[in-house]
Amino acid sequence: MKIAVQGIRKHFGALTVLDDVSLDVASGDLVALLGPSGSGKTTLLRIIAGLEFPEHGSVWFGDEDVAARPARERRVGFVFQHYALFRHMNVFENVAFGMRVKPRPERPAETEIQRRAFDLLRLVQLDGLAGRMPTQLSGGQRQRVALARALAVEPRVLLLDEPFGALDSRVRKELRRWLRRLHEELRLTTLFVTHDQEEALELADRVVVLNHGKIEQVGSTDELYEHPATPFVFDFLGDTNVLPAEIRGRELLLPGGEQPFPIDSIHPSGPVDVYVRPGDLRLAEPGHPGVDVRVTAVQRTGPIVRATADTLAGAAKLLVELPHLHHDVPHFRAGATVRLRLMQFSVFSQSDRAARPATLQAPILIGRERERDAGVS
Amino acid sequence: MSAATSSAPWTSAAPPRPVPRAATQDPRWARALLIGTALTFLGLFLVLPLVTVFIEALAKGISAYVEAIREPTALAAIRLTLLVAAISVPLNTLFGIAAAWAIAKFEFRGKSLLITAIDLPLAVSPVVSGLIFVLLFGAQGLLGPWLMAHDIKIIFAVPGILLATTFITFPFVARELIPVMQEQGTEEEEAAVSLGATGWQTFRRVTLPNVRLGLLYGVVLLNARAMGEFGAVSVVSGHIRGLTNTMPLHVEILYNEYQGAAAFAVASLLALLAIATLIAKTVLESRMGKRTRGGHG
Repeated sequence: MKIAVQGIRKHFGALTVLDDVSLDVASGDLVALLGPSGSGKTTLLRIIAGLEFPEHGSVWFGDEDVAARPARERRVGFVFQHYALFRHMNVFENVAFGMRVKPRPERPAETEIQRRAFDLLRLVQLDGLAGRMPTQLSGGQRQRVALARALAVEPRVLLLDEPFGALDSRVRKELRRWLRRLHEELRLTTLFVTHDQEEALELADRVVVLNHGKIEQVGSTDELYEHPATPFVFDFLGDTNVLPAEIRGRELLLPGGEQPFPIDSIHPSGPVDVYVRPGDLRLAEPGHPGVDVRVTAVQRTGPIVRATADTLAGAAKLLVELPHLHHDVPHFRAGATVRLRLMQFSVFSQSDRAARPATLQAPILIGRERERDAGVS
Repeated sequence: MSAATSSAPWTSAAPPRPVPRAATQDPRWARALLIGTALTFLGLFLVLPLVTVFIEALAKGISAYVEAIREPTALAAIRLTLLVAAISVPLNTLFGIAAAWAIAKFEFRGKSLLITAIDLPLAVSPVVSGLIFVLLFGAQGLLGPWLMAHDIKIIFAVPGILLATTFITFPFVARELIPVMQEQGTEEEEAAVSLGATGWQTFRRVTLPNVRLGLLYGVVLLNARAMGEFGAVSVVSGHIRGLTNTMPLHVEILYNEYQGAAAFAVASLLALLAIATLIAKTVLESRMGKRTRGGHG
């Protein structure tokens, strides 16, 4: 079932939680609502479920406007962050609940309820635990009971609020992969809320990045990484270096760089911010444009070598990440001066930083360069 | 055992070392003193009076005891007490559930006022509570002339007793349920609604079963108070024997008339009620403890 929300506005008192949010989710898609806490992502999910009502805007399931319908008529499967299992019912009764509360003409017979509940418990690999009480289950098991319970009403859409938030990281990864497989199998339109960009990018077909009640960008993992629409998206998706720079005519001047970076298109001259990821920094070959830095510290964490450095001009702090076998690694020694090449970066006008989130502006430039000698030295 | 001694042969030879005391464990004499004090107090102020009630009640023999209870005014008092409890307990159970539900699960204007209002009967002396009703419904009271004109008797009649008892006992169920419901939050209700349950189904299948032990406990306390209330009832009752005397009032009258054995005989019934209440409370509390510790519940 296709989901569409249009022009959603919601306030809690004086606080604007959602500010004119519109979103389309194609049928069968698995979509993540990603944002920091307070970005309005959970509220948006609850509005779609009918647990919360917006002051303005509409919610569509397919061709049906459900905005005025109460939650119980929407047929959504909702999985709560803290599972919200019925504590006085065992696993089986929890799963059967949605079928038991149906109005009598629609209610399946007891044998049918049994059959379907056990089918679902098998689907979530919990058929041996039907008689257990929720308190006797681990976090991951509770989460799967909650999912089976939500699926029992044959929902039109599946909504999950921070589904893995309360689990430890190993269980979380396992459950994430399992949910992905389940989604491939069921092809149910699914929206889930998360503040973990890794989770969103790994699990979802498309990611909706929210900040301060507004959608900053909607896109696939690649789109978000390759074409971050706003400084916020760039920053939220991973470690970020910000370098003050300047555009002069058709050249980008990096701090302390005598050699300007040629750019293709014409932009108004002026100060800009260059956003670059630690992993997109490499040693520049002699005579090539780059940023001169002094390395302040080098530390290896697992397969990654991290170096911190200060730019010689302006003393901006930079973080560099290299695979530990990369041939650049020996050049990064504390105290050494090196020139860094920016393999991929985004340039945002500085007003974006000051004025966000009110103005959402596309990057004025995206620079990209392939690593010529990628791989292992 | 043999494995233990063979692996650590020196332990048997070593002189007995003082057992190190856990930081939170008090020395033995302090424990004995504390437990002794608690038990002495319990004995002096709880067990002794209770035992005395039964000894005094049976001082003139079993037949006198039975006679005192079977006496018509005593029976009337028992009947009236049961009637008052039978009406005020269900009323206040309903009120308590509704108030607790509203307070714990919804946000609304005047919520803190309602919470304070629920506590009012506990804060006001029962005598004052009784007087309020006299001032409202009595012959010289605010509504007195109107009631008189319509031949409705409230003060010095059963309705007055009912009103006073209901007023005094209305905090009990709500007080028990509010913390339980607040702690449980609204997520389970939201889950039920998203699964298609109606408001009533959600209440009956999710909200109510989740608080049933707390509810039962509240009802037990409520019932004990409804049967035992003296002050407020005494003010509005008029002490008309066989008509407006509840059990506590009947005990007082008998006692004032120097019918010690008979007074204690009726009092022993109230004491039995207290014991039954305590037992019910203990059983429920141990069950509730098991549930929060994650038992089968």
